[in-house]
Amino acid sequence: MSHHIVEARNLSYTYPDGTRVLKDISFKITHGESVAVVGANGAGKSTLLLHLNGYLSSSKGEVLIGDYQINKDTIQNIRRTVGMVFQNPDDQLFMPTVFDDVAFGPLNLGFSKQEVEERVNRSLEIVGALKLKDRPPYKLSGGEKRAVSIATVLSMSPDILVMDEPTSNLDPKSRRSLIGLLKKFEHTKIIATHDLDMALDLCERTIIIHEGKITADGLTENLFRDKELLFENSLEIPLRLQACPVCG
Amino acid sequence: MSISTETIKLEIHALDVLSRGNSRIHRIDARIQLFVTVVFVLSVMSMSRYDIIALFPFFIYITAIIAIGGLPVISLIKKALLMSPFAIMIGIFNPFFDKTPYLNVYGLNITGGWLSFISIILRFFLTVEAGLILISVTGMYRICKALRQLGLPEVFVTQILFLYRYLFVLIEEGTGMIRAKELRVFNKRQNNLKLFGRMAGSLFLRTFNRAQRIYQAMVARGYKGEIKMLENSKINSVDIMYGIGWTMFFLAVRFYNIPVLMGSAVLKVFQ
Repeated sequence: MSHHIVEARNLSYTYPDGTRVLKDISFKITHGESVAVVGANGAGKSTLLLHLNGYLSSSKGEVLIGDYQINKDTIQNIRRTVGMVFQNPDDQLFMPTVFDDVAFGPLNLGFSKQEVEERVNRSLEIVGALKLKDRPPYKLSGGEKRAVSIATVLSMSPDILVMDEPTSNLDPKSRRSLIGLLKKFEHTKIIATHDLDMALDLCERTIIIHEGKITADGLTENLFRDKELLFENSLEIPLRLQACPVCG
Repeated sequence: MSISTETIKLEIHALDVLSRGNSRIHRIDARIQLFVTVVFVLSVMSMSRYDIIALFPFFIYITAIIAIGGLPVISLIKKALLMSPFAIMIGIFNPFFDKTPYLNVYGLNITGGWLSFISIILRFFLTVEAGLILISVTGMYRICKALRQLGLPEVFVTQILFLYRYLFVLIEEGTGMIRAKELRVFNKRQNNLKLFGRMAGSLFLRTFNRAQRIYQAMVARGYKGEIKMLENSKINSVDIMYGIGWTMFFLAVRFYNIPVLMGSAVLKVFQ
């Protein structure tokens, strides 16, 4: 299915104040792949993600979702196809109740009342948050907020999930159950993160970005064992792959 | 800070919980409730400045809704008291400026100033309670929906909705900044206005950034400038009766001094 391909061709982006954040980024992600995008703070990960659903558009280069280039005519369809979960759930959950928030996307897509309700229930069920339906967002715990954030995107039945730091600010148990949840999804996944252990769990492929350029793109296992490469990119070997400090 | 973030959170949550009740009042269409409240407030506010007795019938509305809606009386009164300094400040000088004797009760002169002062307090109490009751039985979200259905421009409705949603996110951010400042200010003289100005400015910038991120999240889910809301409730005959009933009652109280009329009617019977 060529429809699920995410492709960036020579993408460059300069912020209005002149800072160059992305420099000549090219990659191709095929159907069903899970890809981690890692790199230092300010390397350009979040900016790159904002290009994938057309929120930002570049002066140079282009992004293709499926066979479509992102432009005015395709953008609504692309935003349905690419579900984007932002880093801070308080930004993602802006409606008065969980139900209304999850219904926001489907309502914008113009589904009937019945269809919207079905979609909301189904998505909340998948993330295990059905019982939170009538709660206001400020009554949710960090883990619950994250789960609901994912449901708000699932309700639009996207083919591609794009996530910015999904495990940040989560306690170990919530983090673990989130990883379990994401493992079950068969969507194409693109995850920007500093949590290399999570990347190791979820993504067979990793793209490393440093100062706006792709410095490595390959199998997660291989890249995360390369101490020098990681060090050069302000990263370090994930704990699980490090030698045990006690037994050496 | 005397009012903590937690208290505000709890208060907002308490109102949210109340608005999810299921009494006969809760089931009245939000547009009608909004309309009744507006008529109520206008009637109360337009009473003449020395009216006290004539205001009493308005309490019937407040009492009825509280009783049928099962609302907590004490907490509603407390909330109004919290706001009362504003009303007191507005009326407090009336007794000093307006000294025309208005009534003479057993040799005690009651001036117009005192009457208007009491009238202001009563009217304040009535209108604030009416507003609190509206939010308690309708909920902010349904009020916003109703405003939208009644034709208030989308921009304003979104403003109110988001103000309500992000109120304490903002307060939390502000208290966080104040705490960070308190911990690093050792000299009282450093605690000046200039510093406060800079903090307010940076809070504004943070808010601005957050607004941008929220907008990103909205656009990512297909936002095209209009928040669509589910459940287009229909106004039924009960709602209309409710609206007409209260409107007529308020107008009657507004234009006829009902307690006085009742009083003179009773006197006539005994004569």
